Amino acid sequence: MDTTEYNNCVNLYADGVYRFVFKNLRDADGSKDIVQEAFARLWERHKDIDNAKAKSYIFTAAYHLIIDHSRKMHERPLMDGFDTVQTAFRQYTDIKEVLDAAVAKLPPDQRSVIMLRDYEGYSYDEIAEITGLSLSQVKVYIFRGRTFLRRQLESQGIYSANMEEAV
Amino acid sequence: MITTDNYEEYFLDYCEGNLDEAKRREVHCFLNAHPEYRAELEDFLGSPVLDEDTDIAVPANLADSLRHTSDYDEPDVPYFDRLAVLNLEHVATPAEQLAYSRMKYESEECDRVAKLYSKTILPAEQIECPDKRRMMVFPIWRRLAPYAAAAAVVGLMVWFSIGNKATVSILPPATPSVAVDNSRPASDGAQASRLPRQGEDGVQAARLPHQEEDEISRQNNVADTKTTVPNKSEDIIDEEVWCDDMVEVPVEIVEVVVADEPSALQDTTSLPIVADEPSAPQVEILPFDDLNDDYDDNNTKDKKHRHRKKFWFACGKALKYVARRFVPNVYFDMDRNADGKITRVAMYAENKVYTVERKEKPQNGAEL
Repeated sequence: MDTTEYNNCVNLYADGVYRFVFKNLRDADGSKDIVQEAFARLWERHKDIDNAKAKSYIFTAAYHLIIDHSRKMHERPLMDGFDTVQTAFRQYTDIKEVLDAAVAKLPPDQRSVIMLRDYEGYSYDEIAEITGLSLSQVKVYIFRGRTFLRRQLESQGIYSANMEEAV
Repeated sequence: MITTDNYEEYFLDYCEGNLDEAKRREVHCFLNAHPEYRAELEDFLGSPVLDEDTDIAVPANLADSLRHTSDYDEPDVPYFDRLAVLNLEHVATPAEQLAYSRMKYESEECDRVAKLYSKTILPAEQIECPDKRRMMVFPIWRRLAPYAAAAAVVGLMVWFSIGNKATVSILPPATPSVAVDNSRPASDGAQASRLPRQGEDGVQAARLPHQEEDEISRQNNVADTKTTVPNKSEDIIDEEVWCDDMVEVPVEIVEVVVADEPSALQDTTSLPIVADEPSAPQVEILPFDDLNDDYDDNNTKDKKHRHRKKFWFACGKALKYVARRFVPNVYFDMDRNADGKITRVAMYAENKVYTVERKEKPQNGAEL
């Protein structure tokens, strides 16, 4: 990968990587730092990395940086605690808000695989390669994540009867 | 009866959904007895054997064995949830797609769950990465280009500033380049300093040849000066850049002769002014155009008033220019008497000539 290809990668993937990181961390400054670090790592190894693999490499680096950052921040998985205190009294008017809140409560692994799947359209194999999980783990995480999101939507009163209105 | 010899036929029928409930149960029993064939059936299916078959009265031990073969296995999740996720992820087999559609059609609850699952797909959201350009890599000349441009601008500003000072210091010398009539005494009083009106006594009715040359020279000089004197900023003006052809405002009586244009000098009115008169520096500067239409030239009073206003205008403007000591595109010319005192100053500005003549204070004051 030469300099031009690297700059093209920045142009093409920086937004996607930033969205992926930002949606995971909910921290603009931290997300910016991680994206810059991911691209810095890409640049350090740009001579060894094929252009076709660049996107996967960036997301892999970003994913690992997210994990490291989460560990530093002592982030706890929220899968078990449904944050009932807050959700019980808060009524969302927009389904996107409900979904955002639900995604924020997902465990990091499930959140990451679902984002890679939905935002970037990666296949299970590619997600497994990026996250270092097995294919079965990816499938299980996606299934659990979807189920969790469905339950969260349901708990916030997003029923089929008024779903169209909510949307 | 399914055996190790004919199991492939059963597997194919199983995949195509041609087996009835009893036959499917036989397949499951066979798999329980021969788990080594499970991989083969999964290859036929293209996906792991799901525990949908446990719903159709599969023996408990077989159901448990099948339940844990699925990647989507979740003991607490209903069967339809698995079908919904598989369909949502577009990884469902035809049989699963059919079962999903059938259940969704037959059950309102399944339909509601299916709609909820469809909402779990994260919507496309455009979030722009800030400082994207900072992550790019540019050649060194491109990275330094902004700094080079800034340095060039600063350099130009410094050069321009220094260049202006140098220009000021090489302004034309005090020697008047315009021919002036130095023979006229400086202390002749108002009558003497007044320029003769055209046709007044026949002297100036026709211009003398050398006067025409002088006029041309004066106009050329004005033009030349405008091109050589650069714009100035007041901040760079100090005593060191004082030029010999600039004058101070004398605190004594001066006389201002004003003309709309150099060629009309003879058609002007000269009026005295006391420079330290309080109202003099505060003269309102009005454009000439504003003065031309409001007065009747046939009315002597109006004409006098008009000339007075013109005079005040010129005087105020002259004083302003002189007080500022230096203005763009202005050139001063002057006469001195034998004592070296400035007796007359001509100022060329904005295509007009303003002449200020020093006079001795008249005994009875100035008549306006």
